[in-house]
Order: sequence, then structure tokens, then C-alpha cells
Amino acid sequence: MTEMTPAEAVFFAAAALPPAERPAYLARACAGRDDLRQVVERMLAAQPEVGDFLEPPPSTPADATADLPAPDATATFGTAAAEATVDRPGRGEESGAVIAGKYTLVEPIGEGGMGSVWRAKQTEPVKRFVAVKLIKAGMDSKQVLARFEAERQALALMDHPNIAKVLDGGLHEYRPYFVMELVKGVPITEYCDVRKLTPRQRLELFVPVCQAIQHAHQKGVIHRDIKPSNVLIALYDDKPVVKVIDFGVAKATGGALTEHTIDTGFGGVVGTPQYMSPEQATFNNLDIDTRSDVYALGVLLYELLAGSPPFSSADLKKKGLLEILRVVREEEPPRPSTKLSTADALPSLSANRGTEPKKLTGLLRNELDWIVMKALEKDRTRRYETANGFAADVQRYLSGEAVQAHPPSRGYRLKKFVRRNKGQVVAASLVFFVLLLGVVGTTYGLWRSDRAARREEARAAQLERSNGLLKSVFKTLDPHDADAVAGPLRVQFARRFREAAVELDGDPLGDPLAVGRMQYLLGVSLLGLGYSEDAVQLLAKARDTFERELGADNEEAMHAVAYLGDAHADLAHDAEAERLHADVLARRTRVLGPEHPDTLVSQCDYAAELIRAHRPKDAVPLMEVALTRHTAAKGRDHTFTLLIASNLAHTLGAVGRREEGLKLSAETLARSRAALGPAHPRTINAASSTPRYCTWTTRPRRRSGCWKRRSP
Amino acid sequence: MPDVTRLLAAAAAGNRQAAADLLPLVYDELRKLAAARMAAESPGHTLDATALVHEAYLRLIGDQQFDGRNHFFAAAAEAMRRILVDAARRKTAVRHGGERRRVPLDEIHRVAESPDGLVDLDEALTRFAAVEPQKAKLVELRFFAGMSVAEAAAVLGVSAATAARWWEFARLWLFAELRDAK
Repeated sequence: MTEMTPAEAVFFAAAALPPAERPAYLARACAGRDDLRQVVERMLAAQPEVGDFLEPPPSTPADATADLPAPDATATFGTAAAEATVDRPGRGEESGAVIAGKYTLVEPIGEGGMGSVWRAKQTEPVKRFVAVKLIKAGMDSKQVLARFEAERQALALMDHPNIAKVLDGGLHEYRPYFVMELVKGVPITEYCDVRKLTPRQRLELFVPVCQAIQHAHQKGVIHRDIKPSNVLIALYDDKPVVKVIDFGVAKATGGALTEHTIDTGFGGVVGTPQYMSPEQATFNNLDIDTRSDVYALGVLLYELLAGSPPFSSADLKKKGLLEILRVVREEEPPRPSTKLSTADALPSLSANRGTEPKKLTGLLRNELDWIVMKALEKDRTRRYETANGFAADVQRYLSGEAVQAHPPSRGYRLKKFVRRNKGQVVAASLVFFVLLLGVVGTTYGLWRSDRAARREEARAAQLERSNGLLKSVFKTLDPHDADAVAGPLRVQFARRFREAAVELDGDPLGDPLAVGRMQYLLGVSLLGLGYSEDAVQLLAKARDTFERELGADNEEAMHAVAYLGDAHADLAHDAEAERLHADVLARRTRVLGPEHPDTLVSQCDYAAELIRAHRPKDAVPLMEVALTRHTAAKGRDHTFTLLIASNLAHTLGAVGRREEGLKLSAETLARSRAALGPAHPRTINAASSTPRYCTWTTRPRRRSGCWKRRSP
Repeated sequence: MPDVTRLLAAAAAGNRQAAADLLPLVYDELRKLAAARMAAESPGHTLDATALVHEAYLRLIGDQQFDGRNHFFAAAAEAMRRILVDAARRKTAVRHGGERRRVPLDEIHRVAESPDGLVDLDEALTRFAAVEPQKAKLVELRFFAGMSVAEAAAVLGVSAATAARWWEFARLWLFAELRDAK
């Protein structure tokens, strides 16, 4: 695509937005470029009035250019055709009109982008019904004629039982027409639904569609507009026969036809959005090949199986043209089985497919999903090479052979997964990192404590076992399954962590401390994932081990107690949580000193428990002290300092010191914004902690709402 | 007129000088045609630029076709612009004693129909060319040589879709420019 100038890019992007969203977009896109913004705003303002400014008037012979020797021979329609544009709309287009002396129009059967299709009676040389396509009057004659010519030539090249034949063509009163085999058929999707065909029957019907398209491809013709209404099923001797019709936007690859089929005026987008391939969804869709049809076939199969195309027209209708194109180009469609399982109409879709809902989604999963998704790859080099290749894989599925399509490779999937789920991946990586640290820490600890002669050997063995355990957590943890099979990644992780925890009970590491450390890490991870009950079990064990092996005043032991307190608090075991936090606060104050950051964290945890116990008045002094000390230790803009401040501000409101609370809240908010940026969770937390906006609840929620605790 | 044919062939083969030499020849021919036409028409009648360009083509080259025709149209569009705008300037100078009247707002849509409008458009197009030279060329081809979007696209060596987008952009830019000049 020819590169856009900045003004062009910004203008078209802004024009595609609803007017209300434009100022914000322009402010963003033209930051520091007032001149650019001015130009674009001026143009947007002119849009409603521009009308046909500078456009050649349709009635003057502006299209007399058709008189010029054309670069390619379009002599069939030649100069006379130029006058076709001035033809009055609809002339000769009514029932009873006789075209070219032998086709009597009977009734209109379709209205296409560039003409109407009529059922007509042919009188000579044989009497039969045919379909006559008449070019719409009043369209840009050159463009339409070129396309029409392309269509005629393209169709003439093809001879296949599944492609509607072209019988005749020419000019009638300066208007081009052509005559096609009349297909008495219904769209393939409709046929399948009415007959309640099973997925297998649908697949069997789909294969000849691919073969028809393959035939066209071999003749150098790309259909470019494959969709259900162009793929008809007609009954011949009660047997369903596929008939692909309307190569209306067909383009012969590499032939002289190329030039004639690309210009559809502004936008130049040819095709039907739901069936349009990503490479077609650009403003410069010259670069289309047979694989674009493979994509559209994929959409067709998708719809046959799942009941609607991957991007339904209802979804797309809400969007502007540019947005539609972006979706087609960039958004990963859901798999057919996923689409189906989330469809409201699943029961009726299943009924139409003569299959139980559950069975149906199960049937689509795996191979059929893969086959369809392979055809729908954004990158066409990853699609089936040919329509036949696509058909062959469908046939392999039908005959129970292994299909060529397969879930994308691990690396590829991982890449796509990361693109889709940045947040989740970051979280998972953190867990992984924590576990890795666990192993390193474990081995380090081992190395230090094991003074025996077999030290090296034991270390190697334990390392191997830790790694084995770690591997069991991540083994076949397929990110790609996250949305399709095993539920959210969070759930999968939790399950694996639990399994690892069970494994640990058998003491596979041979060293209680190493086991304790793994339990501790698994406990913290599960707590972070929201599985507090599992966390309580693990953290209690870890605490016991640490206290026994390392003493109650050991830092690891105190960490375990603190997290155990958090886990109990999450489970609303208020008394136990308060006791644990008071305990760890006392220990840390004694061991680390009252000003140590860890002590201050505990002090705030304890204060939180007091607030839950309806004692906010007791909590406030603890928090005030903690705030002062933490400010002294880490500075005013430290995230934890800001957290204490916003929690305190909120609590002050609750104990009747509203003014102070408001003041502290405003100050904290300003600091958070300046230090962390407006979108940082802490800033948002600070904003929502303003006493004015936050009604006091005696039980502040743990993970959301006004009260926030430090994250584990 | 074998000169023009030869120059076009050379230009098509990539000879820049040939393309440059083409302009005066095309300009001369167009100017002669335009003068004859203007003398024959009633005053106030606007020239049909498209018809003139095509007539010039037939006179200079005949009805043969070859690759170089794009260069002809590029030159013809530029020549035609000069001829029309020069003529318009002369007319406005005579009519207003040198004081040019700005086209009123409601006449922008018919800017090409009056000498004043044409001069305004020419000036706006020059300003447009300073920021968007390719798109200004497209306007020249469309407006002064009567080419269709697809034909102009071929001359500019871009896809028809790109040309269509440019055309939309150019129309709005120029319209806004003329409107805001009021």
C-alpha cells in the first residue's frame, strides 16, 4: 500500500470514528502538531458540505475518455458502451422486456452491486429458462464494463459441473448483459439448516465447493466473493449439487483483466466484510491470490459448522469501515467450537445439525477446529496452499485419517498467546520466576547447611527432584488451552500447584527445609491466585517447618506467619488473622526493630485487622506512626508509603476526622499521579479512597474496593 | 507529428528529458485548439478541457496506442491548467480592472464555472502541491485533463484504490481551503 502522508493517515483514521470520539483522537494523534490538527479539523468540518465538489458532472461526457484508445483491449464494449452511463436508469428492465431478441425477462431474482439478475425465458434456439444479468444503469460505465468484461471472460474460461455456466453475453441498447445457466438453488447454509444436515453431511457437501473453486483457480480466476448466497445447492434427480455462482468480482491472475477489477471507487474494498480475507481488507487490495478464496472457504465452513461467520455481521455493523477492516486484518477469530459453545442459540444450532449440543461442540473441537483455523490464518502462507488441499484435509477427517492441519507450533502459539493475554502472561511468568527462585534458594540453602561428606551428591539429587517437581507444575501447561479447554490459566496453575503440594507431602526432596520452602512458595502463589484455603494449609506447614528448623524469630518463619495471617483474613477468619498479625508484628518489632519496613508492613496489616474488628480508633495511631516511619525510611513517593497514606485517609474519614482525611487523600492522590502516573493501580486506589466518595464499611473488602493491602 | 510520438516513446522508456520536452509541444497544440474553440464559442462559455485534451491527442498521435500515453496526459494536464488559468486571469483582469473578485461561498461548488473561481482553485492547488505534491498532480489529471480515477492512477503509478483515497482527500482539502479563504 502506498504510504500515507501524516495528514492523510490522521484524516482517514479520524473520519472513521464517530464525531464524538474525534477530538480525543486528534488530541492524541496530533500532539505537538497543531498545524496537522488544524488541517484535519478543517477537512472534517468541510466533509458534510463538500458534495460533488470538483467531481466531473455525470451528465457531461467526462467519461468520453472511454473514446480514447484504451491501454487494454476492451473492444467488446468499446465506444458505444460509453454512452451506457447516460442511459436512463432501469430502461429495458421490466417484466416482458426482450433482451437481444431472444431472452424475455420474467422476474427479478437478485440485485447485485453492479446489476440485476432476472429469470428469463429463452425462445431460440431452444426454449428454456435462463438467468440474465443486466448491468445497472447510471454507474460509472468504464469501471462496470471492465468488470463485466472480466466476469464474462472469466466465466467463459470455466467448465465445471459445480460452477454455473455462462451461455451468452453482449450489448442490449448499450447496456451489457449476459446469460447464465439458471440455478434453482438455495444458499448452502440455508439448505443445510433446513435439512438439518449433520456436521459430517455438511462437510461432504463442502468438498465439491472447494473443487469448484479449485477449477476456477486452475483457470486463473479468483472468485473473491465466496459467501453462502453465492454457493447454491440445487437438486438434480433429488441429489444435492453444489453450484458456485457470480464470479462478479472475479479477477484473472496475471491476465489483462487485473486492472479492471480493482477500482470500486473510494476505498476500493471489494467483497463482503464477513468473508473478506485479511489481505483483502486494505485500501489497496491488489495483492490478492487464490489463498484469499481459501480464506473465504474457511469462513464458509466455519459458518456451516458453527452457525455464523467468525465475525458476524451484527458485530461488524456496529463498526465503521476502517474498524471492520482492522478487525478482519488483526483480530484472531474464536475457534468454531468456542464460538458454538458460547452461542446463545446453541440448542437451535445443534437441532439444525441433528446433534446434541454437547456432542456438537465436542465434535468440532480439535481436528475440525484446526482445519477451519488453518484456512483462516491471517498469514496466508500458513493457510492451505490450494482449495484442493483444503478439501483433501476435510476428506481426511471424514475418512478418519490424521489431518494435515494441526494446532500451531508451541512457539507460534506462545507468541500469539502473549499478544492476546499480556497481563495473564506477566502474572504467570512471575509465578514461574518465584518458583525458580525457590529452587535456587533451596539448593543454595542446602549447600550451606549440608556439611556432610555426601554434600555434593545430596545436592545434585535434591536439585533434580526440585526440578522434577517444578516441571510437573509446568508440564503440558498449554497456554493455548487457556481459552478453550481447561478454563483460565489461573485455574490450571492452581490445579498444578495443588498437585505439587500433594507430591511434597511425600517429602520427595529429602530435606524438610527444602520441602518447607517449596510449600511456602506454592502457598504464596495460591494465595495470589485467590485459593486461600489451599494457601492456609501450605503456609501453616511451611511456618511449622521454619519455626522448628530455624526458630520462631527467623525471617522466613515470620514471612510465613504474615502470609498465613493474610490467607486467614481472606477466609474471614478474623480472630485468627488478628492473632497472627499481632504475633508477627510483635516478633518483627523485637527482631528487626520498630522502624524496619517489614515491621511497618505488619503494623499496617494488624491495623487492618483492628478496623475489621470495628476498632478503627485503635487502628489510626498505628497507621499514623507507620506512615511517618515509612516516609522516613523510603520517602513520600514510595508505593507502600502512598498505600498507607490512602488507607489512613480513608480511615480518618471513618473516625470523624473527615477534614484531615480529605486533605491527606487529596495530597496522596496528587503524589500518586505525579510519581506513578494517572493509570497506576495505586493512583486509582488513592482516588477511590477519598472519604467523600467512599462510604465506610466496617468490613473492608480484601481485594477490591476502598481498602487495599500490600500485595503478597 | 512524429516528434511527439518519438518523445512519448522515449519518455516511456524512462528518458526524463523527453518527458520535459513534451510539455511545450503539447502546450502549443492545446493552446491553438483552445484559441480556436474560444473564438468560436459565445463569451462566458467554459472550455471543455477533457474534449480538448482528447482532441490534441488524436491530432498529435492519432488513434494508435502505446505505453507512452500516460506521459502525454501528464503533460496535457499541466498544459491545460496553464491555458485555462491564464485565460481566466485575462478575463478577470478585463472585467474587474485588475481587482479580482473572490468567489462567494455558495459558488465554491461551481468554482470551475467562473474565471474567478478557476483562479482561486489554481492558487489553492498550488498551495496544496506544496504539502501534497502527488495528490495535487492527481487533481490536475482529473480536473484539467478529465481523466478517471483509474486512468490518473495509472499515470501516477499508484493503485486505483490509492488514487481514489487521494482524490477524496484532495477534494476535501481544497474545498476547506477555498471555503476558509472567504
